[in-house]
Amino acid sequence: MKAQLAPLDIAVISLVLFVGLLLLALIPAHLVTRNLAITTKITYTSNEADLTLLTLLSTSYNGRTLYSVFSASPFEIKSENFKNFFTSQLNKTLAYKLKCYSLIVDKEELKLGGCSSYDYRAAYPIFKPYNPAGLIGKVELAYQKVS
Amino acid sequence: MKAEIGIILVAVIVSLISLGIITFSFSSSALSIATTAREIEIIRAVDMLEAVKRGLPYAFNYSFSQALYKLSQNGGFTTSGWSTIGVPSESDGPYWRVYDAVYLPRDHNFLEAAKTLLTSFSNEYFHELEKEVEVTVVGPEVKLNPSGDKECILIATNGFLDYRGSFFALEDKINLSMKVDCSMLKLLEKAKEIFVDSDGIKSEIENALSNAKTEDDLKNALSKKIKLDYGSIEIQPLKVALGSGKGAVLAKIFLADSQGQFTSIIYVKTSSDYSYKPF
Repeated sequence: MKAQLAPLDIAVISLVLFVGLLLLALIPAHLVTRNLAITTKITYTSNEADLTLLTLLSTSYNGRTLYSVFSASPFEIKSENFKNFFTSQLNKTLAYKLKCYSLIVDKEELKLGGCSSYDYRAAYPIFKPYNPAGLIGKVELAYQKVS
Repeated sequence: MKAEIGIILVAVIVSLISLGIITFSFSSSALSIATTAREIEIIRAVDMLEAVKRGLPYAFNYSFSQALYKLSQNGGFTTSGWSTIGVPSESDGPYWRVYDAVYLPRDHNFLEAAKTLLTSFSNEYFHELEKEVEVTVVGPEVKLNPSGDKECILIATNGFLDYRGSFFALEDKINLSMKVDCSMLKLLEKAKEIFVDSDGIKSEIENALSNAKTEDDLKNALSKKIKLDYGSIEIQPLKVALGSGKGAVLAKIFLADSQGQFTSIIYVKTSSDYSYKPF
C-alpha cells in the first residue's frame, strides 16, 4: 500500500513552503536593509566627528587658528571666552544643538554638559612647538546630540 | 501514516527555512560588521591624512623657528654636533673669535644653514609622528628662498604622506609654500659684516702679521692700546709665531670700561693661513 499524501496535507505543506520561502526572501532583505542603515549610521557618525574637528582646527580665534591655540597654548581652552567661542562654533558647524561635549588637548579639558558617554568621537595628532620632551600632542573631541 | 509523513515534511521544510534564515542572518551581520569596520578604517585614514596635511605648515614653521634659535644662539656660529653644516663649533675652542677659521656656516650662507637645520628638525617631527599614528611623511625636499627684506618663502615639494592600513594604502602629495620671517638671518649677516669682516681687532692683528719680520716685532706691534668704534681696547699677545711667510697670534684683549679701566678680558686667535696652526 502506497503512502500517498492527502490533498489537505499537500495544501498545508504548500502553504508552509510558500510562507517559508516568503520569509526566506523577506527576512534577509530586511536584514540587509537594517545592516546597511546601521553601517551608514556608524560610518556617518564617525566621519561627522572627524570632519567637524578638522573644520574647527582651521577656525580663527583671536587672530590665530585653533590648531595654533591647541598646539602652542592649550591652557587657553580653559578660559570662559574660549568656552563661549568654541561652543558657538561647534553648534554652528554641526547645525544642530548639542547635549554636551568634551574637548581634550593634551592634559587640558573643556567640558559642557554632563554626559557619561559620547556617540561622536574624533582624535588627531597635532604638531607642537619644538621641545625635545615631546613634539606631537593630541586633540580629542567627543559630543552628543540632543536625543 | 499519511499524516505522519505530512508532519515530517512540514517539520523538515520549516527546519530548513529556519536554518537558512539564521545562517543568512549571521553571515549578513558578520559581513556587515566587517564592511563597516573597513569603511570606517578607510574614512578615518583619509581624515587622518588630511589632519596631518593641515598640520604640516605648523611643523615646518616650528622647525624653522627652532633652526633660527639654534643658529642665532651663538651669534650665527654653529653649535657642536651640527656636522651636517660642515663646520666646527664655536664652543670647540676657548676663543671668542678665531678669525682665520671663521666658525660660521659654510660660505657664510646663513640661509643654507637655516635650511639644513630646518630639514633636520622637521624630520624629528615626522619620526615622532610615525610613532603616534600610521602616517609616514616621506622625504619632502625643503627650499628657502629670500623674498623681500624680512621674509622668505619656504617650499616643501617632492614628498608624500603615506598611510598604511591593514588592507589598504593611501598616499597624498606634499606641495607646500608658505612665508616665514627671515629677519633674524639678515641680522646675522649684518652682525658678521660688522663684527667679523670689518672688525678693528682683526685688522690690527692682520696688519701686524703682514709687517712683522720677527716674532718680537710682532709682539711689539701688537702690545698697544687702540681706539675702536665700540671703545678702547688693549691687546696683550700671549703667543706669536712666524714661519715660511705665515703667522699666527693668540692674544688677550682688554676692553676699557666707562671709567677707562681695562678690565674685561676676551681672547682672540688668528693666523694668516687656515692650515698654519703652531699652537
